[in-house]
Amino acid sequence: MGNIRASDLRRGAIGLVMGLILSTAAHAQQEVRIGLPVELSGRFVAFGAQIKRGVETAVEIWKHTRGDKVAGRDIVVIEHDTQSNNSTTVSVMNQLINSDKVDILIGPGGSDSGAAAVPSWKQAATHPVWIVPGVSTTVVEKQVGKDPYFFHTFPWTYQYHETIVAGLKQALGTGKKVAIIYSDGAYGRAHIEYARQYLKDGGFQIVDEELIREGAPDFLPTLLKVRSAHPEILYTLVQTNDAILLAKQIYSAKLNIPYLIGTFQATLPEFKNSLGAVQNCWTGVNSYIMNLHTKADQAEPKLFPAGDEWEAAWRTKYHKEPEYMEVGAYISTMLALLAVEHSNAVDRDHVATALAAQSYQTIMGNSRFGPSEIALHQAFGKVIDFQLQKQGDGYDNVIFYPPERAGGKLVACPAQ
Amino acid sequence: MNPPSAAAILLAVAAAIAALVIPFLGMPLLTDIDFRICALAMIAISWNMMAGAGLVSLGHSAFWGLGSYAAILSANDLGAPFVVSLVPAVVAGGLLGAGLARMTGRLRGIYFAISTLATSEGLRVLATMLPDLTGGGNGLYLDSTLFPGNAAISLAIPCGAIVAALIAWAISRSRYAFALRAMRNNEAASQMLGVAPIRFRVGIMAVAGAIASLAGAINAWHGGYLDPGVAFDLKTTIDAQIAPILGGVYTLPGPIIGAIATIAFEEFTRALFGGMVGISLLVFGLVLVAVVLVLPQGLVGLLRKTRRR
Amino acid sequence: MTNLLQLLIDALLMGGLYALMSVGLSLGFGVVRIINFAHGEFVMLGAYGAYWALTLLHVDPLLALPFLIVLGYLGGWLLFRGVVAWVLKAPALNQILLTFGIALVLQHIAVVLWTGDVRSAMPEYALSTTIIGDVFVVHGRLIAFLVAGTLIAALTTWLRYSETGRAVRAVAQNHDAAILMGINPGRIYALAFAMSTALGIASGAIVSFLINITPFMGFSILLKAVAIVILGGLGSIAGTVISAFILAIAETMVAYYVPEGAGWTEGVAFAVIVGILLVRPRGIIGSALAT
Repeated sequence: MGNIRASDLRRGAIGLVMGLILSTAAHAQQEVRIGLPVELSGRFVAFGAQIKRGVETAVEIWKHTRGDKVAGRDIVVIEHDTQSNNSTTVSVMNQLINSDKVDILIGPGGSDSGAAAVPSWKQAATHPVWIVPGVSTTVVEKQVGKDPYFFHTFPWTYQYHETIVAGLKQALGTGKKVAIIYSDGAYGRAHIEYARQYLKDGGFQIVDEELIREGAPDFLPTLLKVRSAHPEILYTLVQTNDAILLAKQIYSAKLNIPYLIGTFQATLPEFKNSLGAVQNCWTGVNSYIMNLHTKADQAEPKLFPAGDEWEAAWRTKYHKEPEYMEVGAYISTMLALLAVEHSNAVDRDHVATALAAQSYQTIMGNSRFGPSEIALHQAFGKVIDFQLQKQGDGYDNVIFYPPERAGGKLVACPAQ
Repeated sequence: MNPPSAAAILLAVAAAIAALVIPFLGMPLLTDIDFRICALAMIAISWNMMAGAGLVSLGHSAFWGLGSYAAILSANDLGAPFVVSLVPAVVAGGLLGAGLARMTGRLRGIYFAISTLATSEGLRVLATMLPDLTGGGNGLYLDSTLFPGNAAISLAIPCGAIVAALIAWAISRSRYAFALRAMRNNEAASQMLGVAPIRFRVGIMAVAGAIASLAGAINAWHGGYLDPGVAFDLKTTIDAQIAPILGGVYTLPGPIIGAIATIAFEEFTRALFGGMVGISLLVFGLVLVAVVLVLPQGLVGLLRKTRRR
Repeated sequence: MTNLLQLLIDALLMGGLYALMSVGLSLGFGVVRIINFAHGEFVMLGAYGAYWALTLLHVDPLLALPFLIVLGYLGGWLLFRGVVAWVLKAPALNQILLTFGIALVLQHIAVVLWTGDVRSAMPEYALSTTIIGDVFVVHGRLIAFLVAGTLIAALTTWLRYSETGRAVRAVAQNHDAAILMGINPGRIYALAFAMSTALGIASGAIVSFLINITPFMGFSILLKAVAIVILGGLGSIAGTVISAFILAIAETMVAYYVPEGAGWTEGVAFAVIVGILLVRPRGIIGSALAT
């Protein structure tokens, strides 16, 4: 290896070191740095892409209505792709916190990435404010604990099942026979405990519980076992890809179970696009549903306009309906920018205090943060139950619970 | 093998010192890069060690993942502090290596490669289906009260890489080296020469397994979170082979140069195509194909060739 | 009892698909003596091909199948002549890494072109069923089974009765003797590799309406196919077909009868691989120890 001249090596090394020093020094400007550790590729790309779009839209609207700066600082958004891969998530979090030195983190969306992101955040010497507009698994809530810098703008697992079971109980009474299918991944394992607990407390009879493997090609043996248990309700705890294939095979197997219950899948475009008629009568939960006709916020009507107005603007801009995580990320970003403006600072204590004190009327409801079962700050923890029902050519989300928002009733799936 | 030139020794010592000093410079980005290079160098050295004996591993994530779980579980369940928890990881990796060597005693070439692939996927299924032990899909957090601080972990990984390199060097200087090369070229012939392949095979795989496990264990402390997908990630297996191939397979400096080149390349493609999903691994695949086709001796081979001119 | 019958029928239909996926891999190995780690990616490309044919051109996957097979054959031939042929005499290490690298490239070409979003082709017959007595048969699976059966039968007939087919078998059985007989092995290698690719693409086209299509679907398919090929004895078509059914039935039974069995099914393939390699490395029929 003697052929490499020492001078070349020296020059290369000096260049590298200088570059690194310069890149870290450049941060000391007057900036608000928002870091997005989000899934821009891989299995959970839908979540990350939604968060990215929500954040970008919020920053754009802020600049449009308030000018380019917040509290005299430039707004800098730094995105890193977690690739839906947990090891990459760790690297991305370390990079955003330690090298990019962001002031506020927003994201990720999926439970898997969220779970992997917690330790690198907690272990950082001074971890920044972290707003999470996704991630339902309580594994994260337990691990975050009572950290004052963690702000969750999404429901936790137990809030789903509390509402789903309450909705079922109201529509069907108690005593119905339920079969549960859950996946062996983070999602299924986190949900099964709460689903089981709320169903039992709600007076339902669990006749079968089946585990399936994430990414499996064939669910028919499982469905055969479910059929033998003769349930009236099938309660599924699986994520997007598996939910799609499962819905198809349930349809093929003609299980004829009157009530097909899902969690978040029924709101995802992938689910609707790839299923056609098969999506009919699946239920789901969501933190946001279109057309709630919410009112504008009195203090910040431009940032948080009335629901109809905001939704129309979104449709004009993107030629599609807003998705729930887009809405959550939009609101989260606005809350963060407002907190910086009000405290006129970017240090975490000021921002966290300002966030905790806010109260705005948004299209997802009031933004006030309050404690959840374990963690200190949560907003938008309420969900709604809906069912996909055929309306004209398409399938609409018909809300059937809670009663004050209901636009229809839960109906049994037609016999095949 | 020729004795290494003074320049090569000097360069190696300089690299080792740099790897050890970087975590203390207070530059997080550089520290992160240092960490990734050293972790990759460890599994690359381990992979190269086995390849040197004709054993192509397609399952290095098995060692990596086992080491990760051994470390985190012994910390969480037995309260083992950082350094102590590395012991069970090394032992577990060594045992898996030795066990695999014994079990696959007769297999060669692709049959061996396939059995390593199956082992690693099999371990992933086990980790998923035994949630009482591993947390299953819910994952497992390291008990944060045991966290020794980032400095200790950032220092441990270059130490691990240096130890791994020294072991590889010691093996290359010993009688072992000839036996292993004979095994690589022709196991039957080496048997006739009086080399007992199975003994060497068990030995080399135990050492290689222990090194890869150690890397996984330190990385698990670094990440603080484990689930079956993280632990037995196919990307670990891919990285473990790309680095030595790129650097120069069967050579001592190959895996280390390859690790540096791989990480540099990764950063480079990320800076260049950051927004474009999938490009960096696509280019990786192309490099792998190109190197196998036109540069089977890797960067080290290229350097040697240019020097001879 | 009804359930057992139902399980066996499902497993049988699945087994046909497994057989088609594995026969291509087996043929490539038997002749060229290289395990193609990119075989799963050929299946993935075939599935995307069928999906786009249906979505963009409104061509049914079954109609697109012949075109995809031809494309697969040409692609395989070019890949062999351009890349794989260069490592035929190289050590196993280089061959393994080369096909592994090709797999990586194909996967990420798919990611770049089509993103990681999940897709699935939905022709009419994908989800419809016929009920006979108490047993239901999903049309999509039945069609897949029939297509797989037809293709395998055609392949076997061709290998047995045509001039070229016999030459292929001759090279597979005894390379040196085949050369002495005046067979040009280079041509036969390219032919077999291209054929193997075409079979992979064909399996992809028919799984397109049965399972989710993603850029990374190939890896688990490859693992399953490898398990089947090893179980059947590397290079033996008959052995491969038999063991495809064995694996399909074993997986179905584990999924149904073992508690939490559906989670363990993937383990069946790995247990088969390790078990066979350790206990009986020659597989059921063929030979495996010779490299």
